[in-house]
Amino acid sequence: MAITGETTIHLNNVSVYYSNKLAVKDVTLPIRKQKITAFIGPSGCGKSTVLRCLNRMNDLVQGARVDGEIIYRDQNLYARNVDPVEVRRRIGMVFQKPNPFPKSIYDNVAYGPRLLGVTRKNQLDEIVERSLRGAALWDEVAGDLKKSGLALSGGQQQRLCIARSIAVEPDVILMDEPCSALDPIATQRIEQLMREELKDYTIVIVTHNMQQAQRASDYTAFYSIRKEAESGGVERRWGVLVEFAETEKLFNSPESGETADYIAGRFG
Amino acid sequence: MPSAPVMPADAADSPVKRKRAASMFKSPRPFEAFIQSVLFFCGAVSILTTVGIVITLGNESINFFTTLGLVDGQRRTAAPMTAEDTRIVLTGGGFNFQVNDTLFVEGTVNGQPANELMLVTEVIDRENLVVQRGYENTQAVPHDVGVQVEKGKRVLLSEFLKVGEFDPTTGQFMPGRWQPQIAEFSAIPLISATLYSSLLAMLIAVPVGLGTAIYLSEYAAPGVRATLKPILEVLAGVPTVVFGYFALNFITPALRGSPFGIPMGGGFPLLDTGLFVTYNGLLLIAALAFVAFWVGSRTTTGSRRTLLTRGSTIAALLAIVFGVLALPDAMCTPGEVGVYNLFGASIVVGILIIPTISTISEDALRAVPRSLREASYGLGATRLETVFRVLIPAALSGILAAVLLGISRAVGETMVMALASGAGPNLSVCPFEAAETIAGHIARISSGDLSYQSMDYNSLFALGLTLFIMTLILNLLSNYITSRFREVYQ
Amino acid sequence: MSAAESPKKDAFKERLVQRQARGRLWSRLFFASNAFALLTLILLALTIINGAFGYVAVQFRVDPDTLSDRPLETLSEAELGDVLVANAAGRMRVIIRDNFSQVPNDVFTTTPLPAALNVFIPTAWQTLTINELNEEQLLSIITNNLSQEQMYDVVLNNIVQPNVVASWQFFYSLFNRAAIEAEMASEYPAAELIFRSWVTPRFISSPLATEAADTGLRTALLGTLWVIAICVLFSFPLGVGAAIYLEEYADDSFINRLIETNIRNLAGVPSIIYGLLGLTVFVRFLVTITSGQFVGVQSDTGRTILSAGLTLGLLILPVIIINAQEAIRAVPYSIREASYGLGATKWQTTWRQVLPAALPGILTGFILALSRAIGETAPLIVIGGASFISFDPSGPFSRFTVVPLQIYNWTKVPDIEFRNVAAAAIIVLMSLLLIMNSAAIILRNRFSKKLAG
Ligand SMILES: Nc1ncnc2c1ncn2[C@@H]1O[C@H](COP(=O)(O)OP(=O)(O)OP(=O)(O)O)[C@@H](O)[C@H]1O
Ligand SMILES: [Mg+2]
Repeated sequence: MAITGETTIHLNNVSVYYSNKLAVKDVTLPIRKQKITAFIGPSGCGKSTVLRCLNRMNDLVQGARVDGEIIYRDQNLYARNVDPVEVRRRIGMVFQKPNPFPKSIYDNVAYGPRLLGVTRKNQLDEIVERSLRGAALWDEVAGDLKKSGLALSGGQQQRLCIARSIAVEPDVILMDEPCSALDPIATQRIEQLMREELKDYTIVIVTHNMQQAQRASDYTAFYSIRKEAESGGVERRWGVLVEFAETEKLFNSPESGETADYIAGRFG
Repeated sequence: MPSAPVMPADAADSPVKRKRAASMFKSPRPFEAFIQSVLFFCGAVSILTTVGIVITLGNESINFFTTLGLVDGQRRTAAPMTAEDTRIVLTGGGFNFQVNDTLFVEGTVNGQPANELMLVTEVIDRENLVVQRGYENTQAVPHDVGVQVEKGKRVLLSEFLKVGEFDPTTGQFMPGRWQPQIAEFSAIPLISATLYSSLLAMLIAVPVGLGTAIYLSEYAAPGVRATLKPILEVLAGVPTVVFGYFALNFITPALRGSPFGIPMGGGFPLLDTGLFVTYNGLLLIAALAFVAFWVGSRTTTGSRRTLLTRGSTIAALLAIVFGVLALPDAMCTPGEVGVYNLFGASIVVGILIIPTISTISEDALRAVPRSLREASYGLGATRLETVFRVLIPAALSGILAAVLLGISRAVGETMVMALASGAGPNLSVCPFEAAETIAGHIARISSGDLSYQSMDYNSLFALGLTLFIMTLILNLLSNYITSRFREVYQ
Repeated sequence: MSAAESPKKDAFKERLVQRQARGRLWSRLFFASNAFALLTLILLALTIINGAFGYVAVQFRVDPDTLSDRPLETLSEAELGDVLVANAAGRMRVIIRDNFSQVPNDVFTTTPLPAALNVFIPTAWQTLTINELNEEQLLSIITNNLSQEQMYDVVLNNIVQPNVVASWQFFYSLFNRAAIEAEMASEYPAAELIFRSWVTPRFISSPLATEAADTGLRTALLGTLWVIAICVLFSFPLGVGAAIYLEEYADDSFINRLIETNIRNLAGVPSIIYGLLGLTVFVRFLVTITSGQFVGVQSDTGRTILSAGLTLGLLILPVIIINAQEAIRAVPYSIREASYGLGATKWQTTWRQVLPAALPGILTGFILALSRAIGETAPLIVIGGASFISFDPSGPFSRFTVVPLQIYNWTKVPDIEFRNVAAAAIIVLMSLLLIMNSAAIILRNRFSKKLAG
């Protein structure tokens, strides 16, 4: 696969294992700078797995192992001397289910900066406002920052989570099906947010929604599952990257037949 | 390869960027490392506790089984001896020594105390013994005036676990005894009382605890459950010493016939020979009725059959009740129920274990997936049939774990036993006599001022070790079963 | 066809009726199990009430009715003072000594008042000794420094001197008044029959005494508080720390699995075994610490509050850990994920997110474990809680007794009066536990409200 253009993260032959069970095999993929890259593919093909490798969230899973290289700023993230905590401070994450802390809106957004040691009130105030504006939430909550984050609607909660992650000023934001728990209007709001307020960020988004991938992303990576019968009637399955291209191209003239089948809904 | 990135926020310097470490490389986080080791230490304390228990009990038990103790009161005075004399001439009255007794003889050499052990090889008469001098690597020394001869004793594991022996002369069975005052250290009476009381307690706790669990998980409406659960919680929260008070001030008086201090007609009549006939007669009638009804119900049809079935169930229950009531008659010689007795204490231990068994069993029953219940109802089973044929088998390992834990609690229960079951080890099949359990004995003996050097003191640890091993096996089994059971449903 | 089917149908119907009948019978049996638990709880409560209230036969040295025309407890301080002068003038120096002396008894009468007494002395009497004061002056010392209640006690103890010569239990008192009166007439003709509650404010506030009728519970209550305080300081940080370690830090290594299994087994070790452990380790091996020698306390016994608190701490540690683990496990994983995703370290995540969210659960579990420690008796018997001490514990190196230990000691004594006292102490203990458990519930509610809103 030809790799051109400015790249923020580069995956090189990445394979992931859970307790020595292969989950994803040999993914090679560039994540383009300040662009939106979508991961699509059938359930269980390893989209989340790859995504979570990008900021080493998989380190939290017992028995997870990553082979290959993930290059970010000329540095392999999985090199022994890299600190996963520092990685996550640069590559943020938004999860499938909105997960605000059981604290006030203000404390939710200020949490990241406080972890870093920002304590001055005026600095925090400014960061909170900027982040909430950045997540297009400011106008809705400005009057009541003391309100619990859990008291917001689902869509607002998800935007709060986005605000929370941009408060630490990451380079990259990873989103794992951020809209799957939201209604269409809230979904549209977040897509718009990615296009407008977050246009300067590099974004990777996992989605099951073909339209969303088409509407929102610049590049798309399609993953699929490979199977192999093992002795004793057990089946071994793992995910592979089938095709990576500009979204336009992938949806309109896919190279692989499998991709074409999937986007046409002909996937078994 | 990627070029040097110029990120959006990099353009403006910000407080967050300033605070963030310049590189992604690991730098030491001493505070994190410190916290982690402190937390690990907290976890390791539990290991230290176990090690402490094992060492403590083990060490003192080894002392108990290896050091030579002196037996209170088994002593004589003797005439002075030279270092070579192999004959002791005893003076005054006192204990009669026997062949193979180890003697501890106090003496002084040049004004310094010098003690010696001797082994009795021959008993000539009450006053004259032939001994082997300088036994067990002690030195044979001369003994001057006022020589004290005491019997030394070493308890062997074989004695500790001795059930009893046949008296060679009379051919009678002499049960092992635990009487530290006369240096008899067979733990069997204590162990048997412990097991006996646990058995009695489980006879109460298992049916009632299980019945409670089944009712709460399968029958009770949410509102009823919400009122019944707290009752069990209160029951579980009552300190055991309070249950001891209850045993001594309600259960035992009730057995003796005057609960609350109000006499109720002549005492609990179980031991009354007059009623021996009554209970056994009733048992016989109930048993016969059961057989008659049962056979009847198998051979008739129609509504009479229902009636007969019901009759046989009731007769069977009555037979069980009278059987249980008649049992003590068979095991006890007629007499009064003791003020302190194993039975009353065991009932109360049974009561206090009910919450343990019911809570764990209920959890196990509730963990059975809904689908299993629905499948059973779908096949037309009644609720009772679902309980017995589907739920109990499915939750069996959890229930078993609960029962094992219950037994372990009964075995270790101290306060109720110490207060209500009486002092003095007693190997008896009659539960209406006083008998002491291991835990009760430890509590009683250690409440006095014990000298750290005495055999009594060491014997407590040997008993403690026995108790520990018993409960450990039960707990390990229970935990093993629980962990297996978890795997099944996850 | 229908003719062939109908007997089958009948048989089925009949069986169904039978099956349902059996179901009803068993469901009643299952319900009876619950009723049994309820019944025992009621009987337990009645037994305690039975012991804590009832008639007592009291014999007075001086009948209080002859001292004043009003009940003694309603008299003012001055009036009680008059009663004192009229009936026990000669005892006033002893009364003063017992209440206010701060010097040894043998020099009390020869020491000048300001040095001998720990109360205010008018300047005019600065050089006098107690023997040089007249009746009126002695009385003024007493009335000026004692409250009305204390004065009443003084009059009661020095003049009236009530003595409980017999006692009956509550239900017997209710139903057998006639029998009691007959017994009174024949056995204690001089005594007065009084209905007595053995739990009184006085019972809680006065120290242990050797007489059942006079004894209070204060010494043991303070002992319980001290022991529990030590227990909390020791076991809370250790228990929560261990729970955090196991839930947040520990990987699936051998040592960590060992710790888990071990804790589960420790929870099932009989409490008396912990007593033997505490006796060997704290009382004997660490005697320099537990006796307080290491901070200069002149004592050589390790049978102290510190030993007791540490032993109980070890005893409830597994329970605390298991409860805390459950509370920590109940915190949704998504909260941790969110925190780690923002670049929090493990400890930051634990300290700022997991612990605050788990705290109500941890505290509730902890208080429940603590209630167990409060009611625990067996290990303290082994450790050597004193069966009788009359002085209040003054610190971690004091000898001690605790409420359940007193209940044990009093229940052991065959005298019925001591059973009464034991019942009264049980009521106090159960109230204490009730307060603690309510506190746990209130705490939990308040915290969960805070978290939600
Ligand atoms: N924590 C884990 N432990 C073990 N196996 C895991 C874990 N997480 C994921 N897997 C396995 O890895 C494979 C890929 O899972 P992953 O969650 O990445 O799929 P996905 O493409 O995100 O699916 P979905 O669209 O359903 O979210 C699956 O077979 C899954 O069972
Ligand atoms: Mg996924």
